[in-house]
Amino acid sequence: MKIPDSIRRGLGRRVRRVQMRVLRPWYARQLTRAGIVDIEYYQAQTGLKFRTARQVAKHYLASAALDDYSIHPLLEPNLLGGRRPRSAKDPAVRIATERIFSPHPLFDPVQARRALNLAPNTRVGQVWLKWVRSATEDTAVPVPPTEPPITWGQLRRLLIEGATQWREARGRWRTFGYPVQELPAGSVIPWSADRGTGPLVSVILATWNRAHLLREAIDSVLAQSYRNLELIVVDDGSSDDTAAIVAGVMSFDSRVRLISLPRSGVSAARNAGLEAALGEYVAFIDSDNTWNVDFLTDTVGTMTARKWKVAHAALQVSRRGKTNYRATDGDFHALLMGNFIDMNVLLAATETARAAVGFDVSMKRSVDYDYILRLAELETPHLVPTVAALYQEDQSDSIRISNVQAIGWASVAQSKHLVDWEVASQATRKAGALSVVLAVPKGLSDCIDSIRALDGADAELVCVAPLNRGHYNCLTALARCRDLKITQAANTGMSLVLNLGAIASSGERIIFVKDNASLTSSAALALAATLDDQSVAIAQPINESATMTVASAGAYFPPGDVVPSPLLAEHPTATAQRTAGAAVAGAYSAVIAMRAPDFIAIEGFDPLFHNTMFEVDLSLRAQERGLGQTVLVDAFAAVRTPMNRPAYPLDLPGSARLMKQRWATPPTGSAESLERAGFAATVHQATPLAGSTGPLAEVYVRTPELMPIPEPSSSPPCLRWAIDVAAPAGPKGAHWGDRHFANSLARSLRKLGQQVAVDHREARDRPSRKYDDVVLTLRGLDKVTPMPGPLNLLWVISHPDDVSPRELAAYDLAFAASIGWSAQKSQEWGLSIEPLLQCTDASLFSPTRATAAAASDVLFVGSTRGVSRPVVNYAVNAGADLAIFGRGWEKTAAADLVVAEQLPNSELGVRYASAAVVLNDHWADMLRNGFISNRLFDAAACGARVLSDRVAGADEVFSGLVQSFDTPADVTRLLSQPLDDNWPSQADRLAIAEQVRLEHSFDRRAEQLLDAALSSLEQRPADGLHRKATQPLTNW
Amino acid sequence: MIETLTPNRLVVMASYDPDGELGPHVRRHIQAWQDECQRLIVVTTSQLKAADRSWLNEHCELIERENYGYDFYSYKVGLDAAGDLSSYDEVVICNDSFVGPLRPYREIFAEMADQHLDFWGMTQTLRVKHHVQSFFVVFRSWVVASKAFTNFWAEMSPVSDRREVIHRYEVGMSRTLIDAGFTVGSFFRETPAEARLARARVIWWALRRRDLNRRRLLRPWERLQRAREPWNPMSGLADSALRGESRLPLVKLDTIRYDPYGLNSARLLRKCTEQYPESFAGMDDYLARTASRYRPRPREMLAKAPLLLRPFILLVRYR
Repeated sequence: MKIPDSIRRGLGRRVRRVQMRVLRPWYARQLTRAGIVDIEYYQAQTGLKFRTARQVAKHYLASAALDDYSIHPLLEPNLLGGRRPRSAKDPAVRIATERIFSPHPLFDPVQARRALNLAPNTRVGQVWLKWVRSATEDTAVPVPPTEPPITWGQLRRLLIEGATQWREARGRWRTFGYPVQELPAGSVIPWSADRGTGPLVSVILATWNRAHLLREAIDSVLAQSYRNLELIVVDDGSSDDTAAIVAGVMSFDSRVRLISLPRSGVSAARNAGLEAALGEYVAFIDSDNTWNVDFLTDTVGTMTARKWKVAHAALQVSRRGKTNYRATDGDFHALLMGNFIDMNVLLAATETARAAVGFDVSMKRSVDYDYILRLAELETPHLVPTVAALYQEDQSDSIRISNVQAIGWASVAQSKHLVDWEVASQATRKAGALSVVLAVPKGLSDCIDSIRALDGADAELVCVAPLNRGHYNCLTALARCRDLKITQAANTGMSLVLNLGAIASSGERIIFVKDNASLTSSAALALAATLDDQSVAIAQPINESATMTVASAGAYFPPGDVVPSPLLAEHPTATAQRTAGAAVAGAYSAVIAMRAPDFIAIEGFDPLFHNTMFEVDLSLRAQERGLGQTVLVDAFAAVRTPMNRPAYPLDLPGSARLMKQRWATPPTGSAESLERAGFAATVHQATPLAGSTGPLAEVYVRTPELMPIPEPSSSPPCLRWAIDVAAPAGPKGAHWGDRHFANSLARSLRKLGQQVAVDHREARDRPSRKYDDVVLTLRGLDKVTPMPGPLNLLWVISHPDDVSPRELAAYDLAFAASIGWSAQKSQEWGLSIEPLLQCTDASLFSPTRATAAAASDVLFVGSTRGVSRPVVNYAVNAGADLAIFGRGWEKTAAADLVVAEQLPNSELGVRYASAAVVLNDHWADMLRNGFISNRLFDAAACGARVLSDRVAGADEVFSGLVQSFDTPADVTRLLSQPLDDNWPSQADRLAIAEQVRLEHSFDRRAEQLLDAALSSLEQRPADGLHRKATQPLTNW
Repeated sequence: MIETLTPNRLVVMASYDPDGELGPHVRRHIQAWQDECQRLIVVTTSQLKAADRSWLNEHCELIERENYGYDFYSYKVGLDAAGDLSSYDEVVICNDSFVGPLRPYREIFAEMADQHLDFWGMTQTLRVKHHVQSFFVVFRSWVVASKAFTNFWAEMSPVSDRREVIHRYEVGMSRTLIDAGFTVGSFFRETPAEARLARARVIWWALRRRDLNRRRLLRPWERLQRAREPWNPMSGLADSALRGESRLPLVKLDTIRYDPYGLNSARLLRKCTEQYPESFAGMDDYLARTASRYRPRPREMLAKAPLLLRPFILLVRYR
């Protein structure tokens, strides 16, 4: 039987909770014994006093579930590995078992390992523990090489100071949003009858078409144990029997009054009630709420006794059978972080309530919040810890404001108090300076990576978001050597967050980065440079998604429609690059750049748009105001989550509706952008925007169906290529040889006037594949089933044993990087397999790149998984002076010979050209099938002497530059004899290198592939969409 | 002098007699209204005999109409004929299907006057869905003025199927008004002891019901379900008329005729006649005269109780 996920997860949680409770004393002892508890640091975070580490450990383990505290300045549990940061394991256990991740951005395990003389394979966690236990005030912190040095004493002081600052900032908003399990302590002074009848309380009930709920609400008011009240029911133009029901109530109770208005909205209705109120105090109740009997007795009594002007009581919330309280005490500043006062539990002195200038009739939602903010600005609200009302969260009414109006109204209310554009426009800004406003991502490592990626842009960084402690700690550490400002923002929309960042910034140009994106420094500089052109108002980069395809290259507007869609979404980035450098219809991007004065002049992003499309609206306003156009820059911003799914709540339909309200006609330029990318829109497909549920009609976004525009005739004709590789997209694929191979080949094909996209594993199914003319699959780990349509080419460069005749037959043309294998299989399978050897990048690999600094005796580049590779063993046994670049050698005998774990592809040529001998080996299946490794070509292109295991064909291809061995004795012999005895002379080697660079370069392969593709296409019958039919294919 | 004391009340009474005669209880009922309302409209679907017609014309406004659409359509005709309903403090609809009131209407209305209710009936039940039973319902002026009330009567069309009338109009009227936000109540409210007794009687009824599933094996299960159904107070608690100062101030004729729960309605009639000789005078004759026109409804006929359980009748019968 399969247990549903939800139950299993719930059970898991419960088990962990019990486990935690049972094991807590044991964990506390373990944590204390680990000797990593920093009492002073913990005190700074909590504001509490502790005498012993044991006390800290106990407090930490008890509060860990809710509060994100840390026991040591250099330990951020959220940075450690493991899926569940809040597991029952205590941090001592977690850090002790950590293998890979550093728990702090300023702690570099490699440096620490070196400083403590630990074995290279020591776990990161163990290194950290050893370092922390041994560190003294004056010990240098093992910071990463990019950071300036600092002593432990200095850093610790800095981080403790940061923790104190964080606690003070947090004090304002700490309990916000948390329902509490018990009512907060505090005394309630109920109104007692011996104090007389008490002041008159006016209760205002504004209602619209809620007759069926009205009686319950009214009865709860009239049943209040506090008797001196008047109930003013304001009927906001109901079309149901509201008036009849109130008339009925009035005939039994003279304390009730009815005001009937034409429909004018809740704000106007409440204002009318406020106007008519005769009482000393006013309270508000909605028709779908009821009060507890003693609400007014308790609140009026306490308010009069304490002389409070504004007070609110607690809400009891029951959800799935659990009861919690919403009872937060906080002032105006706390309210700015988010609303925690429900209108139904508020009681205010009438004069104060009137002084707050009533409810804003121009707002469609969050009217309560807006009013409460204004009220709180006049008089601090106080919490009366009594339960005023009970909410059943399970029941909800479908037609509420909450799903009819945009959620951005709350941001609008906050913005009124947080943002003053007038003041901002007068602030002086540093001429020519660049500011980057970063909406800090929720993930801590994402946050650190985003900041480090911008090193070198020489920009002021403004980090803005509701920051938790971990973020604050890491940012404090990183701010040490960077121009970095930390701004605590309200829990609000991304648009307001970025506005706040803009106001805190001081540069003349600002780059805004949403929390789901990151930007390299070079891209930042490219964006900033674009703004030098005064006709450009906004610069946006190409947004690249996690699959390394385009997430957005600007806003696309269908004819006559103002609901935008991301331009060229899911196309290869190369396609977007064709349209870069020119204006687009509007910005649609997770990153945009704008001149600060312009941004302030048009009052920034509209907070009403909350989290989506605000940059689109901004670009349209900028254009309308004549500030300039939006330009797509040939630079990339990486978008972590899909374009429209940031960590913030979304209201795409709401934003789309706003666009429709605000803009009558779309800006021009969408079709032109497509045209530059080589496409024309044919028809548009309408899809409802995600989240269009609620009572309103769906909002549709219309995305274009594209048709490639025939390229002008050229020789050779320009084809659209896709190179399919098995390497994963993103940083994960950075070490995969396939990616570099495909990129080099793409570069060479582009030199021949071709359009080339490199598709990683995840982008294989991108819908834009249908526009490609040629799909070249580089056969690696993945078996790829070709889609009919384009010309499908297969080039087997590795894993030949995995290739089946069935797979091969599905392709139009097949190549293999082995002469022997292709001949043998052609015959065996009756299919035509052309030999096409691997090759080298002539621009990276050349004898001229040799330097003395990089010289080594015997060089081996390659990684391993725990076991040494035979060729390395042989060389070690032969007593060679070996230098190894690669990972995974820690546990082998050759561990001491590792020079570096990584060698960038661009550096490889230098090392090869400088080495006396380069060692090489092949995977077993490659060797058996005569697949000459590309490393042989690289090394040969550098004119290096290569010593390799024996692979068929190598002697012919490399004319003696590669010496093969069959036994360990061969290796010993070849390495011990004078090198020139066995390898050609320097002059000969250079000549051979030149030959290899000419015959076996990517350029050459590109020519061969293009030739093959063209002749194959020529024989093909015409196909409507693909270009073969529209253009003569001339032999060139 | 008396005129000023008469409450500003409109009563619309639906009446039917298969022989075109006025039953003795109907005359007494009409007389009971005499000083209790400004206006009494009797809508009859009988082929009235001359004597009865002239008696009626003397005592009320009489509307005669064809016999279709049950009492609800008579109510509609009466309400439509009454003109502007907003001039009344209260509007009452009732029919002639019961013996009563067993205590003066003045007392009943006085007791209800300070109840915060928008409309009320003599009894309410949870059968089908919560509703007040339509043989006697009082609407207060604001309900009469409401859209829900106006629309309900305006949209009514005659229905000549008894079950459909109950579902669409009897239950439907209460639901329409409750859904519009009005509160409902009833004059007769069961005490916990009465509720327990009514439950026991429903169980007794369930044991004897015949309108069950055709498949024998499923019947015990269905009886169990039926035993948990809500009751109709006019059947299940009819003998509350005998308690207190007529806690339930009327007795439905259907209860006496059909004894729907099998609780010995003859005994009930005997006891009522003993306790309220005036109200029940002539009822034996009337019931005998009309018996042939009110044949037992096949669906509602009861089976004999299982032999072993028969003595339990002593616990549940009308007392």
